[in-house]
Amino acid sequence: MEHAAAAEFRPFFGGVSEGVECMADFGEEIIHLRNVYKIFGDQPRGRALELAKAGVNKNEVQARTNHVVGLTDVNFSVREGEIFVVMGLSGSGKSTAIRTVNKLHDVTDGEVIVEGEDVQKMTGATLQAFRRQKMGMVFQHFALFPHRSVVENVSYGLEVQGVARSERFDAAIRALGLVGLESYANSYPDELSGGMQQRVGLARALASDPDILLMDEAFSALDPLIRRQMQDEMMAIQNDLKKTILFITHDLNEALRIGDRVCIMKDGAVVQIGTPEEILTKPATGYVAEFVQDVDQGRVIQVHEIMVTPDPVSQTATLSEGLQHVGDRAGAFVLDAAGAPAGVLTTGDAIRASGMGSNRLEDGLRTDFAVCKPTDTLNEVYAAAGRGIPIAVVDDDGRLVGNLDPRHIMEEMGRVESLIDDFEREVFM
Amino acid sequence: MSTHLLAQDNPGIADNDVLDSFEIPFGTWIEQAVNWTTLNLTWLLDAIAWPFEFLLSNLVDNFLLQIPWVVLVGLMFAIAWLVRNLTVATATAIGLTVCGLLGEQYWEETARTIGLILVAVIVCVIIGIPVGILAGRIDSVWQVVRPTLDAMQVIHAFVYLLPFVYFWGVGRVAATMATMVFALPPLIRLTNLGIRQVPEDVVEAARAYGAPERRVLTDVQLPLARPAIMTGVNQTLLLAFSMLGIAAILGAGGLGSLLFRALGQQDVSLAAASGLAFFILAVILDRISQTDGSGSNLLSRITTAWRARSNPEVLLDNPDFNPEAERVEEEQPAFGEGRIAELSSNERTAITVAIAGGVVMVVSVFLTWANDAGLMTGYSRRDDADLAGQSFSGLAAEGGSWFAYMVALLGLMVIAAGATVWSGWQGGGRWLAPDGALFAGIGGLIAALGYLLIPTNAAASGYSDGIGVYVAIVGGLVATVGALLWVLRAPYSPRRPLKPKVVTGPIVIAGVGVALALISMFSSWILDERGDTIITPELQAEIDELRAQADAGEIEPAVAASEIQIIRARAQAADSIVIDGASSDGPQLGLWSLVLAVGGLAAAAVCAGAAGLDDRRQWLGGIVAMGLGVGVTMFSIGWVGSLARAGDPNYFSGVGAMIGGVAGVMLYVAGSSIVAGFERSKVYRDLPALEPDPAETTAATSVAVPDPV
Repeated sequence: MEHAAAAEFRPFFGGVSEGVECMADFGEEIIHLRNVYKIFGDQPRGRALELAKAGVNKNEVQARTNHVVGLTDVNFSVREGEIFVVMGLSGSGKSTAIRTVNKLHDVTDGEVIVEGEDVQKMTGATLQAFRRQKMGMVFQHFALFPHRSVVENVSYGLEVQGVARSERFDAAIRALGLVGLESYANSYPDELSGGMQQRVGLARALASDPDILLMDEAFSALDPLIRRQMQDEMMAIQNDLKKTILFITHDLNEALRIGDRVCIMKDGAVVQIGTPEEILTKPATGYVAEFVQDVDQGRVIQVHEIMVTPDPVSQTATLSEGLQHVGDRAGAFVLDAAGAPAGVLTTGDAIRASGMGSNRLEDGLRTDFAVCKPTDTLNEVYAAAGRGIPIAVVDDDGRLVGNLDPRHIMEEMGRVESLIDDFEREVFM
Repeated sequence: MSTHLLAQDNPGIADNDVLDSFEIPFGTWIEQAVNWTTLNLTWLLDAIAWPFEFLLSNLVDNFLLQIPWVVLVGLMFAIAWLVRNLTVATATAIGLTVCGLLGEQYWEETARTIGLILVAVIVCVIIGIPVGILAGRIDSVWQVVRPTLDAMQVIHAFVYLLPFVYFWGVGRVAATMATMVFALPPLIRLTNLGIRQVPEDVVEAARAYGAPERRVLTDVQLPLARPAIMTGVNQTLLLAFSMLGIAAILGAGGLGSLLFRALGQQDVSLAAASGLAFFILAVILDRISQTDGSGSNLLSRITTAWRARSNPEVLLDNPDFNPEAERVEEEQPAFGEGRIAELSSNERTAITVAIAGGVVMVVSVFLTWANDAGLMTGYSRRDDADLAGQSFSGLAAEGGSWFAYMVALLGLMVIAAGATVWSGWQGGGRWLAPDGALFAGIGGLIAALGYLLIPTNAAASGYSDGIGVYVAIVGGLVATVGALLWVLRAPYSPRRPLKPKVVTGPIVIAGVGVALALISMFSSWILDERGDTIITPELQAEIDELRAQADAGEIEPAVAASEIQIIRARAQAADSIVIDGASSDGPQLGLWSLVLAVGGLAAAAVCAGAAGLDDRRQWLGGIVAMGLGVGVTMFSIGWVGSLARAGDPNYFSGVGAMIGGVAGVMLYVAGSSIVAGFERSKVYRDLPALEPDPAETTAATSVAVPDPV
C-alpha cells in the first residue's frame, strides 16, 4: 500500500523498473503505525479530527478549528533490523510520529503496534517496562542530564530498571566503548564537544541493549564533518548490532545515505515510502522531486537503473550489417564465445572503416571501451562516459548484461528538472 | 415641611445620600462570619495554628533561647560552612558575636529573630516547594495558583493581617502567618519556573528510558531546578526579614520589637544598636542562603564522598579530594599557562623569621602584662589598692585584655600566612600571604605599643608594666621585620598592569582616614556617667537638709524623697565626665591614632604612586598603609573591648574610639585597593628555556664525551 503512490509514477524511459530488492535481508515488520492521527489543541477528538479524517488539509483544519494537525492518516511499518528513515521539514510531523512509538505522545486516533502490542494502550508500569526493555532514544540536542557524569548518564536506563550499580556501570562502560568514549566516563556533559555528547547519547541508547533505537534528528545539531563521521560510526555499529532503527531527519542526503528505506512526510502526512533509489528515480510527487533535485543523484543511482539490454552485433555480421544493427544507438558490442564483450562498434567507426573501402566488421571495432558493474553508481562511470563510447556492463563472470549509453547518464542527471515542470511545481502554488 | 422630609426620604440618584439607602452590609456579613467561625470552628483554628505554635515553642523558646550564645554561634558557623564555605562561616561567626557583644538583651532578640525567620522559612518551604512543583508540572494547578499569588503580592500586609489577628489573636502565631503569606509567593513562582525551564527533551529522555514520573521529578526536574528553588528560598528569607517590623507590631518579639520600642521612646542608643544587629543578621542570613553552586562547600564534598563510597577511586580524579589530580596537570602546564612561582630559600628564611615573631607574639600573651594594678581597670575603678602585690597576664581584664587578644590574633595570622605559603596550599585566600603577614605584624606591633602608650591612671597606684608587653613588642618587631623581608623577596606582581599615573583613590581614602582620626582625637574616648556616686559636699548638704526637714515633719517624706531623687539626677547629669582622645586624663590613643593616620596617609601616597610609579614600591606602600590602618583599628578595639570588660555599667568608651576604628579601616581600604590586585607571579614554561638548564647541559656533555673503551 505504501508503494501505491510510487506505482502511479510512470518511468520516463525503459530499463530496470524495480529497485534492487535488498529488503529481503530484513526480518518481519515489528513497528506498525496504522491510520494514526494526532491533533494538538483543547479538544483533539472533536471536529478537528473529523475534518482531518475527511482529508481536509492541515492549514484548512487550523483555520477552521484552531487545532493543529500533527499527524494525519500516517501508515508505515518498520522491518526488524532495518534503518527506516522518516524525512520531512520542520512541522511535517516526523518528530511527533517517532514519539508515538514510545508514547511520549498519545495519538488521537489509530494504533501504534510494536512487536504485536498496542503501545498506545499501555499505561503506568507496563509502559515503563516497555520503554526500558524495548527502546533506546537519541535526541537532537542530546538531552543528556547535565548534573550527572557521562557514565551515570549512560547507565540511567539500567538505573531505572533497578540494575545494581557495578553491573550497570560495567554495561555503560561497554556501551561507551562502542562509541570510543570509555576514557570520558567520569567527565560531565558540559566538558565534552557536541559530537562527543551525541556519542554519549548514542551510548545511553545502546547501554540497555534495546531492540529498537529511536533517533530524533540525532545528527542534525552537529556540524557537517562530524555529522558525516557520526553517520559512518552509526552504520558501523549497526553492522555489528543489527538494531531496528527509526531515524528522523530533515536532511534528504542523510536519509538517502543511511536509510534502508525512506519515508517522506509533509504536513503530517506520508508522501512517499521507498528505497533511496526509488525516492530518487521515481519521486511520487513534485514535493519529493523538489527535494531530490538538490541531491547528488550520481552518488545514489546505480548503473543497472539506466542501462539497456545489450542487443549485441553478431560476430559473423559484415560492417554494413553491423552499422544497420547499431541504428540510432551510440554503439553495440560484439561478444566473444564466453559472452564477454570483445569490442564495440560505433556508427562513426563503421562509417570511417567503410569509407576506407572495408566491409569487414573487425576493421570497425574498437576494444578500448570501459567496463563497469551493474551496482556501480553513476558517479563512478561518469568520467568514462565523457568519451561518448558505450560502456559495457558486465556481471561477476565478465558476461555482458547491459549496454550503458553515455547520453542516458546525462539525461538521467538532468531528468529531475523536467520532472518538476511536469508536476507544475505544486509546492509553490 | 412635608416636601422637605419627602426630599430627604427619597434622595435623587445624583445625591450622595442615595448610597446609604442601598447600603450593602458587607462588613456586617464578614463580621458575622468571623464571629461564627471563632465560636464554632475553634478546633479548626487550633489545628491550623498548631504547626506554627509547635515550631515556635520548640525551635525558638525551647531551643534557640535556651542554648548558650557560643553554641548558637558555633551552630551557625557549622551551617554556613556546610552550605557555603569557610569564608561565609567565619563572617557569620564574627557577625553574630558582634550582635551578642552589643549586650545580652540584643543577643536574646537576635536569637529570637533567627528563630522567627527560621520558622517562617520552614513553613514556606514545606508549603511552597510542593505547590511550586505541582504548579510547574500541571498547567491547571498553575492557572489557579497564579492569580492567588498575584493577590497575595498585591494586597498590603495590613489588610490580611486583620483576619489573622481576629482568628488567632495578637501574637507571634498571627505574625508568622502574615509573614508566610508575604514571603511565600516568590518561592512558589521560582519553583514553578525552575521546573518549567528544565529542557523538555531532557525530561523526555528520562521518560523514554522508562523512568516513572516520581523519578522524572527526583532525577531530572528537581536537580535542574535547584538553583531556581534556592533563589526562591533566599527571596523568601529576605521577605520574611522585611516583615519583622510588622511582626513586631503584632507582638512577635525579636529585633523588630526593640526597634519598635526605640521608635516609641525615641531612644537613640537602643535604635542604633538594634538597627546594627538587624543589619548584620540580614546580611548573614542572606549570605548563608545564597547557594552559588561553586561546588566547594562542605556539603557538596560530603555528598560527593557519600556517593562515591562504593568506588572511592572516582575521587582520585576530583581535585577537591586529591591535590595530586591537579598537580599532575600543573607539572605539564599547557603552552602559555603559567605555574605559580616556587619559594626560594631566601623567602623561606624570611618566613621562618616572621613565624618566629608570630610565635613570640602569641606566647607573650601568657606572660605578665601588669603588676600591682590594672592599666585599663585603673580607669574605671575608684581605687586599685586591693590589687597591690598581684600580677596579671595578657588574658586578664586587669592585664593586656583586648590589646593582648589582638596581639595574639595577629600573631596567629602571621603564623598562618607563613605556614600556608610554605606548605603550598592554594586555598589560603587573599591574605594568608606575605602581604597579610606584614600588615598583621605591623598591626600586632602597634597594638602592643598602644598598651604601653596608655598613661597610667592616678587611681591605679603602684602600677608597673609586666614583661609580657615588652615580649609582645619584640615579637611584633621580629614578625614585622621577617614579613618585610618576605615581602621584599616574594615574587609578587600585579594581576593587571597598574595605571601609569598617580591614582587619587588611595590618597583620598587615607585623607578621610586622617580627618576621622582628627575628629576622633577631639571626641570622647571615655564617658563617665557614675554621677550618682559622686555627690559633692554641697549637694550632700542639701540632701541632708531635706532629710532633716522630712524627719522634723516640715515637709512630706514622699516629697522629700522625690526632691532628693531630683538632686541626685541633676548631679549625675552634671557630672557626666567626658575625656577626649588627646587628654592626659585619658588613654591619649586618639592622639596616637592621628600620628599613625598621618603616617598611613604617607604610605597611601607611596601606594598611589606619588613616590614613583614602581609596582613593588606601590605594593609595599599599600601594605604599610594597611598595617598602620590595622594598628589604628587595634587601638579602638583594644580600648573599647578592655573598658567594656573592666568598667562598671556607667563607665563607657566614647564615640571617639569608634571613629578612630573607622579611621583605621579607611587606611586599610586605601592600601588594599591597590594591594588586592597583586598575586604571586607565574612562571611560564617557555621562559626558563632562555637560560640553559644545568641538568640538560650536563646530560648533553656526557653524551658528547666518547666512551673511553
